[in-house]
Amino acid sequence: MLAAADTRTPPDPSILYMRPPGASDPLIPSTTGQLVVPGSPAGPRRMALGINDLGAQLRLHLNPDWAAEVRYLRGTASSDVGTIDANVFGVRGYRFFSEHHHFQLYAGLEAAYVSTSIRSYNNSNPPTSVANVSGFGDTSGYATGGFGGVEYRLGRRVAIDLDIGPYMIGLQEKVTSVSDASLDFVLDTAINVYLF
Amino acid sequence: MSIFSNRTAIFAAALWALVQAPALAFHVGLGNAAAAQGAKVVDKANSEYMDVGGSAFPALPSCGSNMALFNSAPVTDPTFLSYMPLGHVFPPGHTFPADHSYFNFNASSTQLLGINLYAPGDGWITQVTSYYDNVNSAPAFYTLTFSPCAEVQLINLSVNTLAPALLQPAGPSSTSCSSNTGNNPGVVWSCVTNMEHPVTGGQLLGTGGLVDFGPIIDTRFQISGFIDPARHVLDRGFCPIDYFIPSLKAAYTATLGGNNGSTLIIRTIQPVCGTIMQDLPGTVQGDWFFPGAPYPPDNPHLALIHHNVDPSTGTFSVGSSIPGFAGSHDFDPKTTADGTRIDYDFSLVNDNQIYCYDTLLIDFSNGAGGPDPQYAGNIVLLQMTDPSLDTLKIELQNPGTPCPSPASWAFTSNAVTFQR
Repeated sequence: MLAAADTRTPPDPSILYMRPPGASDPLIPSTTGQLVVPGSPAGPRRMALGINDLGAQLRLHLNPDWAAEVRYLRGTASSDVGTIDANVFGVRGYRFFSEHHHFQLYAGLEAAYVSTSIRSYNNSNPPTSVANVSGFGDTSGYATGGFGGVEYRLGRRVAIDLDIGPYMIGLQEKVTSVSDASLDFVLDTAINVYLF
Repeated sequence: MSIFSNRTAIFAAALWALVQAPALAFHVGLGNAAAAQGAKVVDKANSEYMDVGGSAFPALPSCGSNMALFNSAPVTDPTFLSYMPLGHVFPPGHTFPADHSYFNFNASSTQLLGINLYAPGDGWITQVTSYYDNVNSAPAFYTLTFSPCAEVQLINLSVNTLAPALLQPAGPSSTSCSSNTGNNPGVVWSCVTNMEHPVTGGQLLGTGGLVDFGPIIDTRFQISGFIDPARHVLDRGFCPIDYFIPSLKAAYTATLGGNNGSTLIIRTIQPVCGTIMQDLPGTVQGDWFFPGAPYPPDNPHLALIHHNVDPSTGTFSVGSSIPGFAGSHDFDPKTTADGTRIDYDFSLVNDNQIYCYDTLLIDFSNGAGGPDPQYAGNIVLLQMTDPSLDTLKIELQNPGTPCPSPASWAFTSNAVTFQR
């Protein structure tokens, strides 16, 4: 059943202000405007260009709490047949939390395309080693994982990031189709310059 | 979510990560983590696959330390006499001591066409190469590679006709054809088929055209002693007889040698299976390389060695670089230095003086041949010209007499220089 329209006189606005029990005067904010965290230098927060572990990244803040990032990384490792080079093309999503004293915690997820190849071969590979087959050693696959870390603001535009997280990396060798996936912990660092 | 609970969650996650990290791989940078995973995959593939003629095939089981890998006679024909010791020379193609043995038969050319070749052991045929005299006709002959296990290959087994089972090998195979003749006269085309066709000892592989037994490639070992090891393939050229089971090894070892018809000429000097490495540091004995020429092939080079059937005989194995002097030429060397510097065994030539050789003999692969009339009145002068004994000057001269007095020994512009 619908209630009848309320035709009574509106209450006095002053009684809507919160006040401590027993106080007679309403609580009125003494200042107005943007909330400023003490000790945090104001600066651009919209887009950042960064240098990470042997690569680069571009971050776009969708709002103060959420950001997306594309990044490229390189890496090197030793195998029985030679030195392996890796190229990683990744996309990250960030959730940033409140900033305190230049520090801002964040967490996120990443998905990346990975390719590796043999940069140089060991001289000790026997003649029957599959490493002698043309094209052997090229792999491709994915890396996906989560991370948590902290960004430290060095100044208005410059910040450093440090995060760690578990990543599942799966690759397949192209000549033999041999594949393997494993869970690794990865520590990532970066220096970001906020452009605007 | 409050900042407190956010921080707690992240710290909890970080703590979990730190607890878990020791049990997992840890990397600085996703790029390095990806490279490490790539290395892991490559190593896994390298352990599970092998190179078979340029194609990747599942790896064969390891040989371990097993040497008794051949359990069956590759030839049972009654005309078979023996295996040839390693180190046979036949310049210019085999100027250096050959890295394989041969089948010795006492058979007519017609009989040779009907001799069967059988698998010497359990294993796999990993490659068949078909050689064509005419692209539009059937192959003239085939060569096969047999592997009893991953590290050992018996290559270059030749037959005129291939066993039917090998024409359609089991499992995957890949074939590539080209104009590569393999240095076989008359051949214009060849097709290489890589495979892993399982065979058992004694299984028929083909018929007719049996020549070489080996080479053996065994990646478990390295041939030592070469003055410049970098010039040689060190895991190739082992004695194939050493890979038979004891009973067959003993039987074949007793017959190692050459033959003259039905007459077997047994090698009695150790190692009776011969050797491809005859370099003797500080002397002129061994392999000499024509400067700037590639190796392989053997063609431009020179070997000053001992005969593979009768090592008491010296052999000049001369490729194509010395004017007027080519082929294999034997001589009876002096085994003690008598001060003449004439016909010294190569192991006695150990300084920078000139040495002279005369009375070249007919190569007696199949028995003593006596003086070579083609080289009557010819002499060979040789001298290692540098203090390190790494440079050799050699020349064939024709004074019409045996080696004259040393005072008259002198090189002309026909002399050729070789290097270690």
